[in-house]
Amino acid sequence: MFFTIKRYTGPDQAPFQPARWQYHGTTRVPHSGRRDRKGTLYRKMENGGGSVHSITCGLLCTDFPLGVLSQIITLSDLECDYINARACCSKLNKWVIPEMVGQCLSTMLMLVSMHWFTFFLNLPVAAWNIYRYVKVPLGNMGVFDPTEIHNRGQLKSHMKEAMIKLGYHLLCFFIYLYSMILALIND
Amino acid sequence: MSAPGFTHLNSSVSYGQNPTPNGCQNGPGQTYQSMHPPAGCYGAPPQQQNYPTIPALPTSVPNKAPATNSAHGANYYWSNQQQHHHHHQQQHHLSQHHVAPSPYNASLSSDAPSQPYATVPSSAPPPSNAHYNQQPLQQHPPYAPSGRYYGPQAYHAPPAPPPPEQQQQQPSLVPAPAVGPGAPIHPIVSYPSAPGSSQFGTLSSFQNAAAHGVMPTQMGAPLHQYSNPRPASTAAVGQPGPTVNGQGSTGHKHYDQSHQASLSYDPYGGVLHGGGGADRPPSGTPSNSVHSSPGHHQGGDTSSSSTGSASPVPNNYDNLEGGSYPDSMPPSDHMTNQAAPYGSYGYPGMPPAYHQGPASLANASPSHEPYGQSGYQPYSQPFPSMSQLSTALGGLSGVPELEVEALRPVNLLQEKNLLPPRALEAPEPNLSPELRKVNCSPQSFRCTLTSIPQTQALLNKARLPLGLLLHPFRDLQQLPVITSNTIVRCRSCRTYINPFVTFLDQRRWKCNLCYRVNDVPDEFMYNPVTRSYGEPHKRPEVQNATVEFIASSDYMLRPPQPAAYLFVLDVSHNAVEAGYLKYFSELLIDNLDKLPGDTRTRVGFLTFDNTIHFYNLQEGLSQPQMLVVSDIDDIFIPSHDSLMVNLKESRELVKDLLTSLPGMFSHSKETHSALGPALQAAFKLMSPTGGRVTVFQTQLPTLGAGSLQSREDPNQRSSTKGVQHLGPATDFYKKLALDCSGQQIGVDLFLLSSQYSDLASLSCISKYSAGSVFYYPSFHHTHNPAQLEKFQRDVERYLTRKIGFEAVMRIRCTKGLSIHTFHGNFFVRSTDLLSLANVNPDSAFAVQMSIEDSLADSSLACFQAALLYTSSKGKRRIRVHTLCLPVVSQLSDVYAGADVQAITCLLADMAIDRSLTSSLSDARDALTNAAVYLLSAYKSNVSNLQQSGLVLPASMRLFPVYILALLKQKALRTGTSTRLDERVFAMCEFKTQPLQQLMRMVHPDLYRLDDMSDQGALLLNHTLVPQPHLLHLSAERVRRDGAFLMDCGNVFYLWIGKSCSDVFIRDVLGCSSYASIPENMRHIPELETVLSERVRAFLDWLQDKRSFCSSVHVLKDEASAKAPFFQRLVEDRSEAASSYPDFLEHLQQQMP
Repeated sequence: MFFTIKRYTGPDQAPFQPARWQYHGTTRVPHSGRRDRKGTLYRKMENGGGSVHSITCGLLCTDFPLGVLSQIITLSDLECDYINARACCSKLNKWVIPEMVGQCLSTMLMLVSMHWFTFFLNLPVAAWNIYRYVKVPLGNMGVFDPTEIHNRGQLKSHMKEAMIKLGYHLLCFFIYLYSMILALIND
Repeated sequence: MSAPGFTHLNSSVSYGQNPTPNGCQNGPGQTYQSMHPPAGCYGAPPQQQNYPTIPALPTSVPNKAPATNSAHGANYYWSNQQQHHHHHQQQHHLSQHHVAPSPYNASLSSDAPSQPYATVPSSAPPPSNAHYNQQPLQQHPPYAPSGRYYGPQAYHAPPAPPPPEQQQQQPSLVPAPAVGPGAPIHPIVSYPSAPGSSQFGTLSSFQNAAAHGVMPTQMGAPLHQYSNPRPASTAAVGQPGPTVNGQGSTGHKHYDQSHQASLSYDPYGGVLHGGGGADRPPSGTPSNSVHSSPGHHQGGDTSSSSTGSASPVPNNYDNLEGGSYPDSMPPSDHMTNQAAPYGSYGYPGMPPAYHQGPASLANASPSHEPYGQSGYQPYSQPFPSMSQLSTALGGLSGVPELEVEALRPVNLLQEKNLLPPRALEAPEPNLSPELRKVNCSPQSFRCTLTSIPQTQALLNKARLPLGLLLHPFRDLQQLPVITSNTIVRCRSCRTYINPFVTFLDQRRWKCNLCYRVNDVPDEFMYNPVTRSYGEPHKRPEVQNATVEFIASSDYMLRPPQPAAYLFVLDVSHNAVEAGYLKYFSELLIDNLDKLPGDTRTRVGFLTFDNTIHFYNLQEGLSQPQMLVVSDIDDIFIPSHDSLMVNLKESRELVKDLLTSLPGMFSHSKETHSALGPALQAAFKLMSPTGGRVTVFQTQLPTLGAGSLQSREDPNQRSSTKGVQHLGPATDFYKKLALDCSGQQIGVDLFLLSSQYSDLASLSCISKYSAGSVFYYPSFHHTHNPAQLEKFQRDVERYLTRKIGFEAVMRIRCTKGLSIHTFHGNFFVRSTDLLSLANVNPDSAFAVQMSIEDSLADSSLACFQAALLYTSSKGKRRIRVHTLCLPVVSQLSDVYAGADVQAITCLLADMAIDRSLTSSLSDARDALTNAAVYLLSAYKSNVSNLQQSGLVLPASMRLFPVYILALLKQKALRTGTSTRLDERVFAMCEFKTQPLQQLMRMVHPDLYRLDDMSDQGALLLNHTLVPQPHLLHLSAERVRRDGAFLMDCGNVFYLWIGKSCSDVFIRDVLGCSSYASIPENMRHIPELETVLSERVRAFLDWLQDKRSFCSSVHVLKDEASAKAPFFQRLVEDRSEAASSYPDFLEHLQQQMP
């Protein structure tokens, strides 16, 4: 995805328009890889058996980086003018609630299973997601509002937020992976 | 042709505005005409062939001839927008252009800002036009001040209505032109700017200093918090220049005349008139529109019908204008390729006028004619006009005495008289004279800093916001219109070619926004002005910062839509009580012929209370049929063909309906309002075509989707929590607005309500569909005559003003600059593309910018706004404005170029945003901080005087006054007296009003009228317009024994002091004494006294400068009446805000 971003920012890098409009309108399919990955992971875990908590968390957490990744791609599409604000926001808003619910769920699981370290790791992010959702003004069409997204650098801050989340989720992913393997071995 | 005109500026010819016509007429012209008969001004014929879809064009061949060349004949024409009516319009033009002739004709005012006096015209009062016009026509020569190259003849020609006829006639009419002996003479007076190369060079000096201290501070201005740098992507372009007011405009004027040729076609239709005085409702002009439109259209109509409905939703408008072509279209290159077929229509001979534009001004100013120019200039000029001064200075090199003056430190605590004697003008950018001449008018395009800081660090250090204020669709008096097969644009950033590009050699030009080197297409090598090859830098595109292109089918996603108007009327009990329906119907019947459009124009009506009523107006019915849909939860359209009908075919039915409408609901007892469903119905009805929906609403919507609750609690107004509910309560209206925007439907809202109606929510429907909002609090047809009068005036202007459909606007700026925030009514589709379902001449936009990369390697920064729209005649057009500003590296230069009015307006927009996203008190603090930061930044960085006290550069000396005035506006003030809806409406106005209008609302102009003398008066069209001095808005300037006029933009208050002289009262108001002045006096009687004439001349002059008519309220010095007047004395203490001295003291305390 880093590629994508690099490639499309800066219209001046595309001396000839064709590149621009050819891509225009075609929706990229960032999700295509997800199922496979998820499936693979799932199978692995089944094979291993092991701690329910770890597995569920692992499940949830693998999805996050991918979700965030697609978010970043969508945002960078908007930045480069490949999709319009309305399409972009409706796409992104769809994921706000699932993300929030998933995050809360995994936080709860950690709490229930008394994995304190991971619980505290998850808590701030879950809190932020809830806060962000609750704070949406009444008249806005969701966390991402097509009429606002180009104003006051919102696009930038959304992008920054997505980047940070991506880093965070990758970190979590490895932590979970580590603990899962550990759990499997211990079993 | 026109050529002659050029050469002899002084000569009589000069006046003629219409280049083209003349040309034709004059020797060569005629011959050509015959040769190219078909070519309308628009060159329609050719186009039609090519693009079948464009119906309208063909219309008239009228003037045809602009194209002197055989080959290029048709294409060029300059259109004035107003021309619709041959006669009338033309006349207007004349007068306007020439200033001298009829002062009042049109309101040119806007155009020629900088040199208001010289060029500007005043717009005039309608009635008078006729008389004046004629005179001017004949007399042109004498008046022609600014070198209108084209002789007056042009005007004559126009009278002939039928296009074809015109051609023939013109020649005969135009004997005068004889003067223009040889077309050959196109003397090119100046083609000043042309090529940019040299320009860049000159400026370079500035840059050197460059990177110097970088301030740590992050924000340019307090409000700026978000100023993030933008990604590179945005920045592409920009070239604009600062404004050359008068000059620029004058140049255009020349063109206009040429337009006359185009008149017949009348691209702008009545609508366009708007620009000038013509549009104004009141003015005599009406005739124009009426005649013109129908007549002209006829030709074009034929093809029309198909356009609208067929097309699917256009998704890709952005591509069109934007830089890229839609997928379906060929790559950018194609344009050039295509050229071939059309080749024949090149640019017709442009009038030499272009060149001269600038030059002429210079010459003219002094004194060609007794009336014209000299007239304009004040008898006693305090200082030379800006332009003169600048010319004298010879550009960049020297400096800048202006700059020195702008930098003079002003100690606010000591200097009490800060106001200039006349209304403040936009500062002139510090550019070379050639660039200045061609730069965009500040009324269309204005930057808060006329010297762009080199780096973001420098900008932050200056503590001033960087942004653009645009009024792109403003009514223009003159506008070069170019029909060409090839619209030359940069291949990389898609910038349109403009006066600030650099020609490297004959065949290559360098884009001034992205610096890419492009080829000059063959067609562009031909210069229609001189009719010779090899002079690309003399093409009109390169000579004018504001031009309009007729776009080819490349710029269409579907055939241009017809003008479509849907009126959605509230007929609930509340509405019947308010009684607006009768007045609206009358106005619409009166203006039915003036609705901008052509023969394809469609109208429809829809009324609602708790149900939705549709009206079948199908041609052939004996009377309108009402269809009631009561299922408001799932709205459907009862009939698809007959609800939106062709105005021309169903005119009688429409009239019937309008006549009976007010009576139909007079007994309605239904108090509910299903606005949401009605809007949904309107959306469905209009989706196939797009167009304009006009909604009249009188109460809170209570039924169906989008119903709202009352949120205002008057008791909370004073609560410490600040003002709540400034934002919408639901996203229904926003979503619907975005849907509308996607279908090219613009929704305008008229809210006439006596109670809380939640404008914060309702206004979203207009805000995001690029509509406009009108609000009449406490509207009642008998109890509130003032509102009724305002309503009538506004509706009339609204119905007749120009309109552009399915528009998009892209703003490009020089590489390194990027736009990060937008203000105004539209939907931002992508980073620099605004989608405007409708565009009207009265709304303005603003954007904030940041500097992402250092601009050190360029000496100029340019901005280009390109507005692609469909005219009411079904023509796809692109209006391009380009502004060019110098880049500086010194903080002092930044301050010297600061435009205090633009900064104030931009800060107001930012404050509105802040109050919505944060809170009102935050926004107020931010405004105060803006002043504090500026004061301290200036103190610590620039002024080396160790003065105590508050010091600002002279260019910014009014800043604290303006900030204080902002804090006292309805939108931002605190206290209990402001109703929520009024506050929200004031906020909407801040976002959409053009700068001049906004500044008059924020900081009204105050004049003393009873001791006016003719000293310093302007002579406009034989009328002396006195020029009283501006007064500070403080009660101490107001005396009991005087009469004071306060110009608040949309209203004039004439306050009569208790001991005002009886002479004034008698002579001006026609009352015997103070006591006998009636309570609600709303007009100034036309008395034959010197005093009265002076006052009226002055009022008319002020009036001519604005598009909406303002009413006059005569106020007596009595407690009950004077409140509105004293409220606006912003330097005095008021309910919850401090006085100016207190405010200064507060600022001083806040300073670190």
